Amino acid sequence: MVGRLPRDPAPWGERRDRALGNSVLRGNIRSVTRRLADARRRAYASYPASQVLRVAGRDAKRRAVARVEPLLDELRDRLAANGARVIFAEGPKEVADYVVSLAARRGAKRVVKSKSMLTEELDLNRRLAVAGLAVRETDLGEYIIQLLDEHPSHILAPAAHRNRQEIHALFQETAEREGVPGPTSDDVGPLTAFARQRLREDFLAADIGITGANFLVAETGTIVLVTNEGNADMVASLPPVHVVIAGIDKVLDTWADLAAVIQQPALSGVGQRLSAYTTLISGPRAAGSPEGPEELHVLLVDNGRRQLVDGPYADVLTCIRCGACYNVCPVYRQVGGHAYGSTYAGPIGAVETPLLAGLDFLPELPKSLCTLCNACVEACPMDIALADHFITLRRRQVGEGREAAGTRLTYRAWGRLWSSPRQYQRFVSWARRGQRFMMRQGRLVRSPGLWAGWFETRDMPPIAPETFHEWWARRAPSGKTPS
Amino acid sequence: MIGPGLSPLLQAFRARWEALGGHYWESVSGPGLTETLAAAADSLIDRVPGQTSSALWWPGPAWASLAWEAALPPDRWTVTPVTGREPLVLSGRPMDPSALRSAAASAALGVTGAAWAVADTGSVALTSAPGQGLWPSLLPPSHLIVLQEAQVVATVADGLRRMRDEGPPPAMAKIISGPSSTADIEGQLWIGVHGPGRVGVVVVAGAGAD
Ligand code: SF4
Repeated sequence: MVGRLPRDPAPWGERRDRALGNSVLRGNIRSVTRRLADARRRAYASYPASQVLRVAGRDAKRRAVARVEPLLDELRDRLAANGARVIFAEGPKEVADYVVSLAARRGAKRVVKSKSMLTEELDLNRRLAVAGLAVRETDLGEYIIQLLDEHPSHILAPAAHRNRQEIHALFQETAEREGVPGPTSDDVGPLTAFARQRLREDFLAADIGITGANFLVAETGTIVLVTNEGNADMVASLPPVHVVIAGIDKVLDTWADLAAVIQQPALSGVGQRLSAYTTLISGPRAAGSPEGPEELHVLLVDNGRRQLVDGPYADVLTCIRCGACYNVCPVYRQVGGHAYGSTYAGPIGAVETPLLAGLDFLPELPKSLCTLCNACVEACPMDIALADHFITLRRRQVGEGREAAGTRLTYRAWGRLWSSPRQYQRFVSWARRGQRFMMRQGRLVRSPGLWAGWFETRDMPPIAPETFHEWWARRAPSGKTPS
Repeated sequence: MIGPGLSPLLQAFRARWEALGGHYWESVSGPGLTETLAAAADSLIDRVPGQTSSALWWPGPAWASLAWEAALPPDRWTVTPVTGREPLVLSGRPMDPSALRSAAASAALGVTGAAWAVADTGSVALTSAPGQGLWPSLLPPSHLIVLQEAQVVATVADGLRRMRDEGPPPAMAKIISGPSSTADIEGQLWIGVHGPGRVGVVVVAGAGAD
């Protein structure tokens, strides 16, 4: 089953131009990605165990993906034995329906959430709001973009495209609407304090807490959450009901495998050896304990993942969403996350989105948003073959006739003309005759057809009156090497 | 305070914990420990002159012999103590979860024990074991941890192994590495967004507290 992902209705060209024309976004994305990429490099260089850990973590993830079905069964049995309810869910609708009926049964109205890319992918907030639930995102960046009614632009810094002044104005407006004092200035301190105060009230009043999961340990039935803010701990331990919504790709085999990979999100994501909070949940409130949820529900979601398990793209499922590939990608660093048009951006997003949702879904992602520079492959702690996947996806797009007829024809003609010296030389002499219609002040400035885009931002020298080949042929008319 | 016998493991833990922004004290058990706790507790909060500060005291069964009245004296603190194991006792009465929750939400300081600590990452792990809860480590703006020297292990894997050796994992456990932080606004690091902005650890030298 292919999955269903949300998409920006704007076409690629419009999304691209919108991003490139937004100087706040570009400046912030540039500095966030540079800071995170540098932090990662420094952390690896200064930590002797980093490479050994990375390889052990990668192997643990690969082993788990290879045995995902038996591990999911084991996980379900373990979690059930620990007192949780486990549900296998196919896609967005099943997940939303489950949460809505759970809320109805509990008489729940208010939901708090910690950051989860999967619930973005499932468009869960919108679906819950339609059902009348008040959903509050509690990660600071997610809170900001929820108030703005926007989507994350960076996997680790969702509001990276907004600056302090914009956030200050937003919080002022929120304070007025809710009848509370606003932030005292547009410094980070008062802004954070405002959010802390508002969200604290939401945590304490919530009926249901929803989190994702970074890892799921089959051996023990343990849900692992990684944050720096501590909001996931609140979401998981304050409301009477905790719902975990996790992709089936999050499962790990053993507790020892968890030890191998547990530092990876922080190490590759933000350059810390461990996140400020790593939380391990193995069941609802224990008998005799005053804390923790009465009910723990775990939804294990497919949404297009299972179909990848046995194929050449299985390594995509080992992604830990660390964002390292985003931070080094020359395309992402220019356009940021929104231009990708769906939940996942950066190199992994450009590869994974059409794999999850079908090759006709945002086909420009593998085609236009990668330069094949290989920086992501170097950065990825899981050694996901991102560049290879870009090439095979492009090959499939072409092979399955997904290109426009004009494009196919142009490339076929081009390929034929340039595949023998004689044809190539003939092409050059035609082009020389035609090029005077494409010149201004002695430079090539425009072109018909497929090449038009090339000249949008640059020009080229014209074809020389006599090419090297022609000069060569003139000097050595018999085709022999002149001495 | 412990002197030259300080183990390399503890030195490594201290260096990384402090690098993450954590506060650090050492003590031997006995009267010196309550003095150290009192000083540590004081330095983790902003005191309003002439007023007492509220604290949630829950270091757990391993520290049952510690007297909170000595560590958090009544002239400076209003304390909600949690003692006992099963059943738990909150301020001298049977445990009431909602009273615990409001005490945690309004306290300036939470005091807890710990399960283990990691030198390699400068982390402290806490578990919701019988007799020990996690809210005091999460809701107050400051958090003070009492840790035994013998609880410090080398790596995260060692700590997780220790936890696993004790049986099935508890309902909830958490590994804390420094204060709550965010860089969500313009990438500037800010401390204390949801969880405590100030965390401190008092390491007690010697084998154990019991
Ligand atoms: S593909 Fe690799 S680098 Fe990119 S987010 Fe996933 S694990 Fe991190």
